[in-house]
Amino acid sequence: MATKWKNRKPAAAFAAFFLGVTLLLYGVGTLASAASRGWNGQYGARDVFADDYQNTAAFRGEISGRLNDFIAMAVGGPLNGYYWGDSVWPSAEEQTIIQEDYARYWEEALANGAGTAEVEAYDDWLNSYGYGSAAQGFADNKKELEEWKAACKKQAEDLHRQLCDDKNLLYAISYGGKELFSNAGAAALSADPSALPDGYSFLLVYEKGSVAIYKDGRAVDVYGDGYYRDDGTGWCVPGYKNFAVDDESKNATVLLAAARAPKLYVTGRYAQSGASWHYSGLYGLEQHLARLRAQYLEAAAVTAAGLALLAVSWLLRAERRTANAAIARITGSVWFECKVLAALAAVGCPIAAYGAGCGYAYAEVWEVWSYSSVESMALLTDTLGAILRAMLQNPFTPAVLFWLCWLLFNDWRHNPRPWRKSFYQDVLCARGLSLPVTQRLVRRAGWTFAAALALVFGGTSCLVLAVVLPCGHPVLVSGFGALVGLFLVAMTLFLQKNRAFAQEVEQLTQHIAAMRGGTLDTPLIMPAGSDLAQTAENLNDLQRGIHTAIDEQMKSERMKVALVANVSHDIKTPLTSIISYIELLRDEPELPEHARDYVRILDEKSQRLKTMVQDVFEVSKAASGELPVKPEPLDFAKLLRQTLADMSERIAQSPVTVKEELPEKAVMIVADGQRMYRVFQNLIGNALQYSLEGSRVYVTLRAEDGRAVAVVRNTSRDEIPAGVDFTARFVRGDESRTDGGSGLGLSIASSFTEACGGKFSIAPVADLFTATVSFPLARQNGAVAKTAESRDFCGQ
Amino acid sequence: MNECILVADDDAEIVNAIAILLQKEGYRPLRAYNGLEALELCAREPVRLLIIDVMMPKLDGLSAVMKLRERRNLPIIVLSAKSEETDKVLGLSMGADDYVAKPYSAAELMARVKSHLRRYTTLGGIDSGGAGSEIVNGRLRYDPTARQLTADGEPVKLTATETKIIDLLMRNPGRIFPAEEIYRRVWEEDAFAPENTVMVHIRRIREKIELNPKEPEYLKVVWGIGYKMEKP
Repeated sequence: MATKWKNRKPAAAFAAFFLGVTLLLYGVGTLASAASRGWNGQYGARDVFADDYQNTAAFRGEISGRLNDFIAMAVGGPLNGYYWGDSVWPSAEEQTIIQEDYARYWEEALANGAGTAEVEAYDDWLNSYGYGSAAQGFADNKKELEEWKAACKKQAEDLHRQLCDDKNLLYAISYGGKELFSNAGAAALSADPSALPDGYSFLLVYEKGSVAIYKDGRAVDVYGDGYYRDDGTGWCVPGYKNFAVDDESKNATVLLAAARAPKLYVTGRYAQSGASWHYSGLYGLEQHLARLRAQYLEAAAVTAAGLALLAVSWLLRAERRTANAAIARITGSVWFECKVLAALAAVGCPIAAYGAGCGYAYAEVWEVWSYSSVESMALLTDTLGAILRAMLQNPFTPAVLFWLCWLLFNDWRHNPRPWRKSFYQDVLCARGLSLPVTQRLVRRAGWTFAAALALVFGGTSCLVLAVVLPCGHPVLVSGFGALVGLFLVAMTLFLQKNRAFAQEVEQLTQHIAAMRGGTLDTPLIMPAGSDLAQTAENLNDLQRGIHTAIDEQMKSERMKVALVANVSHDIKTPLTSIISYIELLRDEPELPEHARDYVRILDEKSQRLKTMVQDVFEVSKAASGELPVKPEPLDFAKLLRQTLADMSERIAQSPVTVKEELPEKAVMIVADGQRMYRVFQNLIGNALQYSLEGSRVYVTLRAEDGRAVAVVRNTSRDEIPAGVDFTARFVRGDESRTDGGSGLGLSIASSFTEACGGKFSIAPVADLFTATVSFPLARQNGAVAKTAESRDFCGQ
Repeated sequence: MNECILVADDDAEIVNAIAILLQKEGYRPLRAYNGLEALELCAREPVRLLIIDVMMPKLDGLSAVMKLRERRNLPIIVLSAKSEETDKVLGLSMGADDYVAKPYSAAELMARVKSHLRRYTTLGGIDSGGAGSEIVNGRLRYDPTARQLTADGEPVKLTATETKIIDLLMRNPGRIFPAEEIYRRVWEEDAFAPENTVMVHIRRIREKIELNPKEPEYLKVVWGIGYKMEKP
């Protein structure tokens, strides 16, 4: 557990740092965007954290706006910003008439009793909707003017219809003592703050061009020093010294009450539209404030958490350094070019985001060209700018940028000379390659890459410019064509060289394969200028070397065999005398009994020496591959049966039983029968000689997986010493025993089997001694046996 | 008999040992210690058989054999420490009649000496060919009508089954017979795993006709295939 923690400590430290910084950036970013709304402004910090929503700039703005509307409703003027109902607009014919009667407009309007101010106001109203030029001749008669007034009235009624169901804001609007609009219903509003209905804590009274506000029954100082300032702290209502109203508006009276805690009002008009949510400015306002409050608190909590995590990471700074180094190791394997691009992105993104917004400013520079191209250019940069700005406004973007910068900084601090690990170094640069061939290969690929790069960048710029610059089309198109041509030529050259190189590699590979196969006398010829000419020359040298070495080895092997042959010959000559005289002695009738015993021992030992000399000679020949072998197709099963039959006397005399499991069907292999007879004679002879008395020797043959596998198994009489290579020469199970064997039986079996193309293995397990001889099955199974039988020419 | 046999070897002890063996068998041994001596003795004495070593000073055995073969037709047994097949083939192609590897077995050597002398003296030295129907195969002669086998001119006593086997093999020298076929034709019935039975009989016949039954010259096993009568 402790070590686990120790191993994970750097990771934990870094995780704390990472989370800390990310959370801090997110929190600070959110708080900063909040701060950008200002302290006093609508939905500014003061608003959000106000104890009462009625004490906020947003509330003041809402109420001021409503008051403006209500005064307009009272005096019958047009409503600014609140247009809910249908409109009355001049038709096309009317507009024609308007233009013809332009000259008569003022004259007739005035003659019909309209005041100058009234006509001008009407004109302005039309102007605000972009019909200014048409409007000048519009009011050619009074009817039109009436229609305008009716439109204003309709607007007022529409607004009233929209607002009246929102009981968070109660209002009563009257003009000249006559009530025009009210949603207060039974709970009639009065200018007396003490008479406010339950649940309402705010009262605004507009009378005679000035405003009185009561909150919780107490009057609020609306005007202060009497001047209105646009700093979000005061009420934007008429009555200041610098905010006077005309006489008409002074006739209007507006009573306005706001609920203490706004609610959502819904009315079900199921005959018409089902349940409908009413526009509810105060409720929305209060909700929005609550949401902002939660958001800011959350941001503050996130910031605090970030700071706490940073503190933790500071405590673990030693481990964090380890983590930094580990991260630097990872970033160290990133190409320098990628890092440069990342750095450019980190720096360039914000710049581009704010720079690209000025698309039309760039357009000034391109003034010489057509408007459409400027348009498309500007559109391009603007779109790009919008995307980037949207990205930056995401609270996580600063974090991403920060971490990008941090990674770059960390990398720069831990990895000296970061340019050492670069795309150029890794892929394009031929330095570090010492051979001219490899340098050439890399350089070729580099040039092709450069051509591709030129095509991509040049081609893209050509295409972009071709779109932007209409006059440059032919030049740019031909430039693009030239780039494509250049690339194709470079590519073709590269592919040609590549193909030539592939051919050379093929030649080389085939030559090496041929060398492996034993062809050593033909050198590899390559044209002098070719990439692999030097390699081929080296290979030829190597080949000559191997050739000489093999020749010498063959010579030395032959010499060895000759030596063994000579030695065995030299031993045989005196041995012949010894054996001859022992035989003479043996036949001597007058020898005393004990001398006869001595002669018998001499006889045995000299016979053994004779076998040994012959065996040594054969093993050395087989080991050097000089053993003459006559492979022919034969039936392995029959060979084993014949061998067992041949040895039947010895088997009968031995204290063990031989169990044979041989398939009845012919198991054809290709081998030298005489040699294989020797192999099994030795194996079975060994088994007979060294088996536990009364035990069984198993001789089995099986054809499996395309091989004929013969196994001789016996239980050893003595313990089998571990770790002895029984096929080594002169190795015997028991070092101290002096029986008749030469110690070469298994060695002969092994080397003869291998000389015949088979596999020989010995696996002693505990007291079980297993010798396995396997040969690949001959393809034409039984074909030879048939030929033998068909050669029937019985009788001469 | 007192036939004169020349023994030539540079190793005096070997010459002596063979001489003793020959004396015991009642021959008159002559001793030579190199090729030239052997040739001289052959010219001087009525030599009936020559036992000669290959590696000898002054004139080696094989050269001596070649020289001798220019004038004489006596049986020659080459005695050599070189036991490879190639050496044997070389020796026999130089004109030797037999090739015995050192260290030799006294019994085998004497058997060979007797065999060669008998053929040389009794049967006229070369394969003179018998009655028209006789099958001659080296030392062996077989009369199919009388069903009689003779080795070195001496009749071989065979049992009925052995005679049947010999009849089959002598009629088809060189042909390989699988054990099943031999069994079918000799015992005239099919048998399961007849290898052992056939092998036992083959071995018994070998003991009657071969000079060294352990290294048979005529009745051979073709391992993994069958049995055959070797055509020398």
